[in-house]
Amino acid sequence: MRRLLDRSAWLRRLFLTAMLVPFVLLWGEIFTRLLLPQNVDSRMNIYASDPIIGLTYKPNAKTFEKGREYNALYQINSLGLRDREYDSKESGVFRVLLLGDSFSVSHGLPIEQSLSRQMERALQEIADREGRAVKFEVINAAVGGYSPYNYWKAYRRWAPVFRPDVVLVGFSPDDYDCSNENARYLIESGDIVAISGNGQEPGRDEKISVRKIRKWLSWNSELYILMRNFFYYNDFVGRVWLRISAKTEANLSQLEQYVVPQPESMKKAWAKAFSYLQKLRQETAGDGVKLIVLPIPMKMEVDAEQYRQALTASGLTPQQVDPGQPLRLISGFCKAEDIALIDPRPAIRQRHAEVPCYFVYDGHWIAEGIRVATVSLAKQWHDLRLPPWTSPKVKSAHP
Amino acid sequence: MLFNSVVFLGFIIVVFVVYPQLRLRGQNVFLLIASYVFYGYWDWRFAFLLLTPTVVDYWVGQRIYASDNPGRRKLLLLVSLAVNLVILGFFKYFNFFVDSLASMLAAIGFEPHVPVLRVILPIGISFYTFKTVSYTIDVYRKKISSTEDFIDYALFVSFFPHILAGPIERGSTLLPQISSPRQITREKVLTGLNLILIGYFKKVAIADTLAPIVAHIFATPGGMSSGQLWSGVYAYTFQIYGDFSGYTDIARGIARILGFETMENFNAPYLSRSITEFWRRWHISLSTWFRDYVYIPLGGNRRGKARTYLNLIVTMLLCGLWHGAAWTFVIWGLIHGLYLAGHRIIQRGRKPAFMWPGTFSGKAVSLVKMILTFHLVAFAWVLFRSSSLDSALVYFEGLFRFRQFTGFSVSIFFAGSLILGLDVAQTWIGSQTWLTDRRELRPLRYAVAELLLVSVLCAVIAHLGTITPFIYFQF
Repeated sequence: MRRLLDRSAWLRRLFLTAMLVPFVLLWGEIFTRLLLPQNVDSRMNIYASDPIIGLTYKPNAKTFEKGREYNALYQINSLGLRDREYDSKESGVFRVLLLGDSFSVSHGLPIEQSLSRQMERALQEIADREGRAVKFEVINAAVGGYSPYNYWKAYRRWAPVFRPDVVLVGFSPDDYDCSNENARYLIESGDIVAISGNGQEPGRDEKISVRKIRKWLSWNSELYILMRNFFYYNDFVGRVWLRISAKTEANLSQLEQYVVPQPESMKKAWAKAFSYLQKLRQETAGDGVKLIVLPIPMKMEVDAEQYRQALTASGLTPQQVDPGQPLRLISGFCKAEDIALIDPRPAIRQRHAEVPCYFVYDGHWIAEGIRVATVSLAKQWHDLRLPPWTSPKVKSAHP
Repeated sequence: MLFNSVVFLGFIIVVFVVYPQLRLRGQNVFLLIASYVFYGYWDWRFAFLLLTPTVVDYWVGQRIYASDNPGRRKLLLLVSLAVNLVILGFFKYFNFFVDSLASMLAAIGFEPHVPVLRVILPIGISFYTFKTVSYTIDVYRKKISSTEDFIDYALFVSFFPHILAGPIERGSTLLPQISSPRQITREKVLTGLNLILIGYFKKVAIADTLAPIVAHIFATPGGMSSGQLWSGVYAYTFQIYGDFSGYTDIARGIARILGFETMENFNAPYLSRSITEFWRRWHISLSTWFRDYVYIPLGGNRRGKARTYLNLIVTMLLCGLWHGAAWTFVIWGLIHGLYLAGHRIIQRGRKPAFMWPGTFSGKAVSLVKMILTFHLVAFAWVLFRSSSLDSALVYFEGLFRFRQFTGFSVSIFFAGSLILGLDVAQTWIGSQTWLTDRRELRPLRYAVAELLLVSVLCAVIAHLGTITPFIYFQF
């Protein structure tokens, strides 16, 4: 006991601890960067601002998208797409322009397992089986963080370049919340200031010096993002803090698209999202291009455990949360606008009961989920006689 | 209750505060109650299951020890073995045998209607069953005397740091410590905390970090590139080691703070230069158990070459079956049996080449042997981790297809180098508690301890809300 209370020993320890602080921080950064990545590095290296679309990938950029469950190469082509290089369209080639967010980019997966490649293979297989002389090219024009506003703008950008026959929109149910130009990212004077997932936008009312430090940290330190998320954004302490500070909207951010009855703010958000899809529909129709919507199922919609956890975390009851709501809204819109809709939910639900179709922690779908989805989607595509299997009357898969 | 849960934190604080205040008898009673609370927290009904072999083996042990009649002693031993193996067999192997029988009958044209009884496997059952069996056999062999005190014996079986995943402590080492006064010294507390810190680092910072990568890759090996599959092999090799040895370190650290010395269960196994050496360093309490109670009674190496190889294979087959009721574990055991027999065949006809100790060539040969042994072990882990034999075959097929060598994760090697680095340091210094028992290395020791602590804290924050159970709890 006397030794424990020895003041000089404690002072020595204190001094040593103080001396070690820089090393400890450096180690924490290295450890987090390599084993608990928060994706700061890849976000910093891969995104660029774009005067038309808002956000895009840097042409010819190369990085590894790292997470707890993946480490995937992101190789961006010379045009700024996560895809191979394309020549001008040849005869016999049927081009599908895939627009969407991180689900469509196939976040965390190698390109050969991505939605665009697997979709291409699944469509090609059906065409080959039927002996149809067509070569499918599914162009991956999706970018992580996109919303309907970006889909519309991305179509304007890429349609003249690729002359697609079909535009396929991978619509995630969380796309409602970012139908503004910069809800998921912040660009000031052509400079990307923040991207959602890095934890924050620098506060506008902060001193410039503090803001600069926080921006630098949010772009350069994985440890900073880990701690920031822990203390504020989306983890345990963050949730407690949000409850204390009564920021209930943020608290429900993972579930608000499923809440019934729909709050007024959500109705407006969905209306805005659909208004951009409507613009896209008008432009594609004007160009004689078929628009198909693929409502991507979030993990919570097919995984009972995830649904249960989401309920527990939000404090909502099952009566207040309807996992089928986003699909109903999207299909209602598509029906009204006569937009074809293909839905992979039944296939994924069935497969997910046997083997995982989503990452355990990340929540994005994995290669198996995409495989099952694309096989089902290609079949629906074929059975609905969508181009190039067009018949006089196009049926729809609206539930 | 899991070592990596918040509930356990409260539990252990209560234990550490109350325990030192009591005298020997009180300590034993308190630890016994704590152990049953710890075990029953998961499902209180299984506390009664734990009590059954405890009562039976306590009673049988006393009767065997008191009897001079060989026939009666043997009969009593058989009673103990029957009770233990029936309980273990029912809870662990019932479905496996029923399913296997149904598959065999179906293969020859029958369509059997077999009873389906989905039995929940009580965690730790294989560990405490082996503990009680070894006690009874040791009493039968007159290696130890039976214990007179039921509390002491019940505590031996249920001692909470060991009950879920070992080490499978023998009566000869643990019972004397239970029945005699224990001293809690500053050194024991510090070295115990040292073990606990290293254990949490291995479990939370390494194994739990690798767990999602492994789960993702092994879930659908058919959809993975060769690079991902190779990553999965290495990730699981480090994960299972970090998970299991981390658990053992925490268990040994807690036991040490309580005044108990428990056996070393891992001794830098991935630095082994042969499979035989690997099994001397991996899960030592289990491998020595199989050596003493299966391999040697089968004849060991005393009945000729062929019988020795057969004994090795049979022992490892049983070792595989002990791990789980599935063909993947059986084949895993068989492979290790073949590895051991193969190594013995190679060794038998060879004179060891002379090399100056410490020379570059000697070190290089050792390194090559280590890498080779590591990979033999790693490939076998694929079977251990796969959900079925079909899945394992798909995995192996993809692994050696060498196509699409993308998705290879470098961070897995960082995790591996950290865990192997700890082993190298431990081997070099010659102590598992090197952070706290080398006074001359104090600043460096302090720095390493801080870095380990920071790593654990970062990992806890990153993994918040998800508890990854220890892999060996399922056995």
